[in-house]
Amino acid sequence: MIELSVHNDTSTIRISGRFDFTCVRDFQEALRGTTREWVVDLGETNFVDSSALGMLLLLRERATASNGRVTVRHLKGQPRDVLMMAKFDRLFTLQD
Amino acid sequence: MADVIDDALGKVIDDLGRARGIVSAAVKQLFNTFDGLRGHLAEERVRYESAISAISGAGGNSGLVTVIRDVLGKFVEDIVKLSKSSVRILIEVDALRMRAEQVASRGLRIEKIAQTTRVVALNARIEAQRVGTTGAAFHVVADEIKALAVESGELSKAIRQAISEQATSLEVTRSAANELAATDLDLAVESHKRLEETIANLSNVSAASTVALDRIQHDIDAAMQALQFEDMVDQLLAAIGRKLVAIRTAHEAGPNGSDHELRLEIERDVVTQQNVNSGTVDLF
Repeated sequence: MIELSVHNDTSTIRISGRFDFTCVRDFQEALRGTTREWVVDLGETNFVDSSALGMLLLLRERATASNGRVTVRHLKGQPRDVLMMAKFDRLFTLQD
Repeated sequence: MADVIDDALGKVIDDLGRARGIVSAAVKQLFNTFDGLRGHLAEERVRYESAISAISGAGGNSGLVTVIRDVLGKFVEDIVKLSKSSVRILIEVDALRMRAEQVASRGLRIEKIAQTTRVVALNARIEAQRVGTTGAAFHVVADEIKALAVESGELSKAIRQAISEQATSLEVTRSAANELAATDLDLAVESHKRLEETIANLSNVSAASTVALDRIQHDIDAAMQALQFEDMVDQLLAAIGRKLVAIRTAHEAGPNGSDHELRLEIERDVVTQQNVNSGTVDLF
């Protein structure tokens, strides 16, 4: 499940449970936000597949186009293993 | 009695000479064996280091570990790129579907307008019929309007049919994009972890093996150094032989003979060492 909240110039996307291709439509809705700063909170996420990585990369493209940035927060477990293996720590700011 | 002692001394001197020969031959054989071991060890070390280099890489060449790491990294990179493109396709497919639904909804409105137009045309025809010949021209117009209404209704139906077929195609596209986008990466993560663990284990084993090889080399060197005691033993045995000869000579000379040679031999210390690690050898 995806929740979007906006505060000042920061959009926060919270994903709970599985972050996979079933989230594409909700994620697309979230991408319509107009902020420059984006936070993706994966604290309640227990699984990501490759489509989640694709969505994060699209979000990064979008943020970069408006000189913004994406921070991925509260990474742990399987999502952490997958993102680190894909070397996403070089593309995103990671926060505990 | 004097003869017996003389014979005994002669035998002891002979035995001593044979002992020297046996010890010398045995020590030479031991030395050659250790020398061979040292050679084999050096060859094994070269083979081992070559195998480790092939696995972990050396001298600017990529080892097997680097190759596997690169292949796995490229695999993950390609999967992620594919997923990104597939997600983009999914988003575009959704947008297309929404637009198609809008067109279908407008087509439905056109159909309703056509139906209404047909009713209006029918009413106009009835009215033209009622007024007789003066309404003949109006009758023709009403027929044309009806024909247009029928045609636009059929066109609208055809458009809706096409949109319906397009929706099916879009669903197939969406399904295919879903399959491309959603790759479970757990196997890749597991492989990545096992590779890193193997590299760490290999590194530990390699370090331990190098230490073990160094230790064996050191022990062989120490053994070969220790075998040099043969020189000392040989000189000691030779000195013992000379002393025995001096004793026999003194014995043969009897109580009134000179003991000068015997004293010289007894006072001469050929080897001062107490063990193989210290002392000097008198090389005459």
